[in-house]
Amino acid sequence: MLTRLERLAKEFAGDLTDLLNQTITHGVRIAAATARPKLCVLGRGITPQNLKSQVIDVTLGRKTASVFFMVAATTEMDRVEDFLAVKQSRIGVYSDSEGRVALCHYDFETKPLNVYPKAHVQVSGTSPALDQLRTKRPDMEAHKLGELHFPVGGRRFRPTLEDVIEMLIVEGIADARPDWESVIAEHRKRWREIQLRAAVRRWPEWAAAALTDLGCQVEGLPQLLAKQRAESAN
Amino acid sequence: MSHPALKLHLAAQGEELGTVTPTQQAVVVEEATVDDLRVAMQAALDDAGLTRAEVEAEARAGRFSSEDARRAWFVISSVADLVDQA
Repeated sequence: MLTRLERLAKEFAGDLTDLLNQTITHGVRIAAATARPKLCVLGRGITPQNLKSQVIDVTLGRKTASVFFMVAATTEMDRVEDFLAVKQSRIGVYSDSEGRVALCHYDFETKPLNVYPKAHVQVSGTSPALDQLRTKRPDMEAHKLGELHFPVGGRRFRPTLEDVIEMLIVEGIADARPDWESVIAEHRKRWREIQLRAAVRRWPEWAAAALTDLGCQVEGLPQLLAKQRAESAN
Repeated sequence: MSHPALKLHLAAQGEELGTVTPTQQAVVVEEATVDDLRVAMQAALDDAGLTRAEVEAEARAGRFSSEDARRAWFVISSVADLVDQA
């Protein structure tokens, strides 16, 4: 009998696997390792003693890949809401099969140790324009493009795996299966629903205002806000 | 990426789960012990050629010396709480 954590891990990993194999990869399997009471790490080749996700060949068949992909996520069981909340995620695009030469990577961390955006993208390369800028940071000699943390929407509105896959396809970096657009659309729709529901729970007064603008009557908002305030105070 | 959450919300509202796909069924999920996590952390550090303190310092600066260091931090920040509490 699977625990709820294991069951959710299976579902999450299965969905990632389907999304990849139905768009830009072939035969990839995302695995998961759980640790009690609530932790789950997902990625390719993940085992209890190997929590580093392996790089994935971006190719639809036996053709040698020229671009490589990496997806990894650490989730925690949210005891109140009873779902897997992403604690940390990483989506990387590489030019080598070892995943050491990055083109770009999208990172998200709920509690970073630094001042940079929790959700950001970093892009490798050089920038003549950036080279001409003087840094105002005394601890930094010069800006380098690959070290900049470009913000990408924060926890609730950060890009999704679907967005990055779509970018690789439309930019001509990855070949795609014929029906990739509908696969992306379906997965993206589900993700947006989840994120929007979470945003409404986080900011119910704004959701109520929007619904009121649309002519709806919203009841129970003062009680809900009072309850949330009491919970956050505890 | 967290679409299972939606299913669970529906389940919480009385709608039965039970739409496990063949792909989901085939997913390998293994349970790790604290010793496993400790091994995983050390393996990631060995790959990066750094100590935990060095990787933490790089994470604090937001600048990693290599992709292996960045991935080592992913592992450490994922499981360090559990390992340290044990």
